[in-house]
Amino acid sequence: MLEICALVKNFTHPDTEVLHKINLTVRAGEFVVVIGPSGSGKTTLIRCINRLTDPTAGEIFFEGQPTSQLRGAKLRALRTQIGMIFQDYNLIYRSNVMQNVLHGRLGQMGFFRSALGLYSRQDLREARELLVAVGLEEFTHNKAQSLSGGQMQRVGICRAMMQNPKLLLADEPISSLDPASAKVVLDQIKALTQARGLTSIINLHQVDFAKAYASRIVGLRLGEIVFDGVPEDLTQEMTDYIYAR
Amino acid sequence: MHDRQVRVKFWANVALVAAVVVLCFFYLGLDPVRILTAAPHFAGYIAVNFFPPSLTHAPVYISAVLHTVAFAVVSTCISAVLSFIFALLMSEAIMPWRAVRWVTRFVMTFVRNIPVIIWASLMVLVFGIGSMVGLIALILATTGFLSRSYAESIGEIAAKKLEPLRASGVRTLGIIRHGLLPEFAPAWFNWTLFAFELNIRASAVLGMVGAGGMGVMIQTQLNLRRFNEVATMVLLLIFIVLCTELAAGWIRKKQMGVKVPRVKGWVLALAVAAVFFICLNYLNLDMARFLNRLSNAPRILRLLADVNVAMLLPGVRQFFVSFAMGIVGLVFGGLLAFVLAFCAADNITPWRPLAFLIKAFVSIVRAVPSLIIILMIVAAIGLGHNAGVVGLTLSSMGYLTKAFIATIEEQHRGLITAMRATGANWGQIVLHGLLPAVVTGFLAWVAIRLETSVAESITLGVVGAGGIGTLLARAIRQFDYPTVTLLILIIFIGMACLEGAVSAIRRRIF
Repeated sequence: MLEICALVKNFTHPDTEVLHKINLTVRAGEFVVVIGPSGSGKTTLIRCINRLTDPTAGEIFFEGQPTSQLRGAKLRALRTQIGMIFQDYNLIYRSNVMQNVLHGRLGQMGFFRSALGLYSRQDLREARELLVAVGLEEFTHNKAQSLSGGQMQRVGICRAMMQNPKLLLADEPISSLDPASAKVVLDQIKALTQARGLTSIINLHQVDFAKAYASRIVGLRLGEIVFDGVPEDLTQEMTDYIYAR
Repeated sequence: MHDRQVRVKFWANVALVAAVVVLCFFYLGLDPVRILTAAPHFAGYIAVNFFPPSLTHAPVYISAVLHTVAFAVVSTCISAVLSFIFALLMSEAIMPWRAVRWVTRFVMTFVRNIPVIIWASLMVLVFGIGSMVGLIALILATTGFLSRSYAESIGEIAAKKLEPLRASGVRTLGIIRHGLLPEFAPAWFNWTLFAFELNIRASAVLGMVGAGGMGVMIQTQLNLRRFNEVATMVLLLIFIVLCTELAAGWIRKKQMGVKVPRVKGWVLALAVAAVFFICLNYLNLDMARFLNRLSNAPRILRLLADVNVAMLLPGVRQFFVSFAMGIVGLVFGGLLAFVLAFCAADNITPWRPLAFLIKAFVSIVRAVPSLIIILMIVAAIGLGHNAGVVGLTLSSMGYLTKAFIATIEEQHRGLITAMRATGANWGQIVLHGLLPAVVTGFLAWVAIRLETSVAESITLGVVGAGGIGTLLARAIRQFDYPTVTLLILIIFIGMACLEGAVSAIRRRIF
């Protein structure tokens, strides 16, 4: 479903090569967890997939379609099929929880309907169901800024699910959370993606969480893939190597 | 760094600033005795000549003051809308074409760095006198200021908040409507309110260059030495500025933490629109005359396309005169503010009534536009650089005292309590406790004020306090178009350099 071929990303300020000819194929329904220390290129890798970052070289095929040259409406169409969860939730604080969830649908609406925020009954029902699924129905009309970190991230999950995506990306979704909230968030991501048969690529810092949730682990070190396999094959030596300075 | 190095660096900086001030002093040929005695002399002069205020023409003046307020309302509303559009065009997150961003940014930098009075004089030169040109000048200056402030706020929001919407394939318009607008609304409101407070003062002085409003009355009565009439107008102006400041403060307090239901937003918008149209109607703009003159504009713009290079050296020299006056006024004002702030801040004041008196005095000084202060000083101690420096000192003092007091009052209470508990006296607490805590904040405020001080100094020149403003006013009076263009370019380049330097200083301080 996703094929990354010889992906290279250089940054100009400062002049560094973050990703080194990455090759990776993800099959439909996989729950891939990418691990690696800060600066190993995890974030850049998943941002290249939905083109929040433009790759320097290489190609990414999404369902067989090359993505690196997409512009304008075609790029937006690609992005509507890929949901994303952010480390800092990035909710619109001054809008309420319901509105934040509905934002996930805006990309699929026509020009006027999206500009005016005219959501359909179907959209509202789906949003409400998602909020029930993550246990936030009582906060529907609260401003997003009044929520705790864990609650905000659960709204972030709903927003991504509201897109009805084929692929879910998550960039360190639990790094800003306490262990208990982190577990709730990962459980919900896992449950929702499994129920819908979604493909997921999740960046994580915590190796034990990765082992507990992943169907496949990818280890990134200095912009290169140094491990790719099932959690059972990830040895302590390998982990130490991935995280070695 | 070692303690010693820090101390050496500190004294080196102090010596540098002192050297610059002394240099400016000699460059301007200032008279220290006259400046030091100016304050008591000025106060005595005011007390003898301006009181009691004359009430015979009060109704006329009240209508003039209301005009001033209407000017500020209309110009602020129009600028708020224009600036939002320009700020979007300047924002990387919204406008993908770099060329458009850069052109908008450049135009806004240009517009912002020419003081409002000079815009007004230019407009009068091109379109002739009238209230319409005053309004346009005010809109230009406000848009320059607001678009930059808005763009900064939008940049902060865009850096994080808008990414999810972009990542899910939302169009730019949808991103603005659903992501940017809700997050930006409070900043929009606050900056606009701030611009409104500034515009009340600005619209009070526009008349001095023939651009409508009460400025022309004040200037005429000053020239005729009918000081009691001036006193009435100035008191009215102080009253109205203090009222708007109180109202703005009240709105800000009210706005924070209060949940505003959706319907109320529409009510507010309708109310603002209603006030806008009432004010517009009250202003009775001379639109017909303005449109008549519009056909003249291309001819004059063609004349302005010429640059008189021969005046380059005198122009630059006079810019430095304005700059030097701005610096001296800023440093003197800063020193006064430094002393006043420690006496007046609630948490450290040695005597409460003193704190109250200082705060009241500063509010009144701040309420009068510096141009009017300077005209009153000119009336008292005569024309020239001395008067300019005294006026700039007063206005910088007013601004900085308020800022310094706020900085001191923000400090943690425990800091002072802990020092009091050791038996330290007022001086020791200030010197060893508060000063280290507030000094970077103070410096930042002084850096911010630097631009305004030089801009004011140029403005003061227009009414005869010397510097490049005086040169420009003369060129405009003599219809010497190529010189006007040259001087405008010098002002723009000089002010843009200053703006760059100030942001560099601010980055280093924080």
